[in-house]
Amino acid sequence: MFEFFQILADPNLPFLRYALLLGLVSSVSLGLVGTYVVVRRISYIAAAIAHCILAGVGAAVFFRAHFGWDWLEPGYGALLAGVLAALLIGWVSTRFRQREDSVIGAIWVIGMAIGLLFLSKTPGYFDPMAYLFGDILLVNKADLGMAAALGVFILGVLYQLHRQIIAVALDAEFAAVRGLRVEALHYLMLLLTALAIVQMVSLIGIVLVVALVSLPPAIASVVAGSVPKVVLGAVVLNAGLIFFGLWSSYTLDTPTGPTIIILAGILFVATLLGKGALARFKRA
Amino acid sequence: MISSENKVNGSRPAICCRGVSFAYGHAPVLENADFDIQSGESIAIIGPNGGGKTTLLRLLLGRLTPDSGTIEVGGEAASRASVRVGYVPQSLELDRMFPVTVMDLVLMGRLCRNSFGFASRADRKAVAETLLDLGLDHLARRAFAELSGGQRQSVLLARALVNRPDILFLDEPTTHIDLSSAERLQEIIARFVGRMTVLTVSHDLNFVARHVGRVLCVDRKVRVHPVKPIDGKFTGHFEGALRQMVQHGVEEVSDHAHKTAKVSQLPSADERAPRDV
Repeated sequence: MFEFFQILADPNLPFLRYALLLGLVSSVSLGLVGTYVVVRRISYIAAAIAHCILAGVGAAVFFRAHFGWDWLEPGYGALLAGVLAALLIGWVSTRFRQREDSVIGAIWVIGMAIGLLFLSKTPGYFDPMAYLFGDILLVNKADLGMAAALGVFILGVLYQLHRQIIAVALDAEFAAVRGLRVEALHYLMLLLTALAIVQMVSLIGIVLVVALVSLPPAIASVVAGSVPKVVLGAVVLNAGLIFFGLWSSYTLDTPTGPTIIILAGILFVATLLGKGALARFKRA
Repeated sequence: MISSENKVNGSRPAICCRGVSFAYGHAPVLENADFDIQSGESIAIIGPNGGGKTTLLRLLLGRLTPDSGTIEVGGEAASRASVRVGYVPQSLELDRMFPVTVMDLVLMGRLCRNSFGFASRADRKAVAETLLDLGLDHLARRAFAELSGGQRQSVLLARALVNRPDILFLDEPTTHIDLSSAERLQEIIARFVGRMTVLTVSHDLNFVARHVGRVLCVDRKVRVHPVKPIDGKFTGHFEGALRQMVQHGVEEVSDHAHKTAKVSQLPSADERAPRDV
């Protein structure tokens, strides 16, 4: 662990520090929006948004290479694609309820296909695996700045609207009778989910990031006694998973994204088993 | 003690429905519904499955817009009357894994479009008072999903009452609860009759008979029948006609049936199986 902290403090090796900072900043956003995703049971929508982000990343990489648009970071492409995917999926989920899963499934794979086409036509070699499963070396200062800006935005919006958003997630009909703008809040949450996912794409990757949206709130909901405690628990768990995931990845020399996700998975299963065992012990 | 703070002007009906028609696509559900409900009245909406009860309720709640006609609730368009209205749904199923406490859930009843940030001290006080008034204060920290059906329905009623509405809408409140819980709920609702307008959609004639003064029979058309239940029961031919209406839908529950009504026992609990769409 000491060696890990030494590397973190080494000014010549910024990538690990960037990755940790990015992860900690994103933990707050992921914990907040993740709670909504878990309550609404819309992990598949979050996954669809995440996969569509590859289209934006691929397009950004393609335009940089073809037109010399060096200012166009892949993260910006990811941001644009995430926002568009959230709006499109929000529209589909409110307009095509009976065919929602089919249409969202189509958007999911078409988004990925567009991204892979852009990457395949980009001069030079770009490994799609780095974007799909994350690469700690992809994290740069621009990602960190964008993650911080997005984090502040998400936190500000949710501070103001968290009660309305949770009300819509729990009982949309009642929320509508109370005069809340149910549809607008649904769109807003999908948008915030997209932003939270974009924050972590470079570190965790498009395929794996959804696990960090859904698993920590699911774990927290097993042990916490109220909604605010679930949110807080999800944020703390995310931060812990990022830290220990990075440490394990560094110590075991394993890819960072999968290591973090495996840790989250183990914790989730252990929590469920522990709760079951506790319930049996209490009954005995 | 809960009381209505936003009293509706006595001369103006609490609910005013004029020539309201509604269709899902080309399938008409309501035709030219025309009725008033006075402030402080307690009304039951009954009718057969698919007769339009739920559609009428959603129109009155402002969740649907009529194809023609107008609906005023508390002197305002139905869609803008949320401040005046309390709503109790048939049921609310929450994930048992997700720990929403009774306090959190009832706090939802204080929300409005301009609710920002955390709940205020006044919000929490109102919730505590409402729970105390309904005898539910001991459940405040309990997870809603772990409560019995009857307790849940009482908590949903507390959520509807916490903002002290003028008009209380109940949608099939006894569908998912047992007989003793229904009686308990009936007692609570009876306390608010006269203090606010109460509108109950129900198949359960025994449940509504205790506290209603009039019945709206809805089977595509809406007919209003003044009826004063005797000793908390519908009686004689009128009761039979209402039951017929609920089960099969009929052209009209005749005034003659009401006028010739005699006191009679309602069927046992086993015979009355509540259903809804």
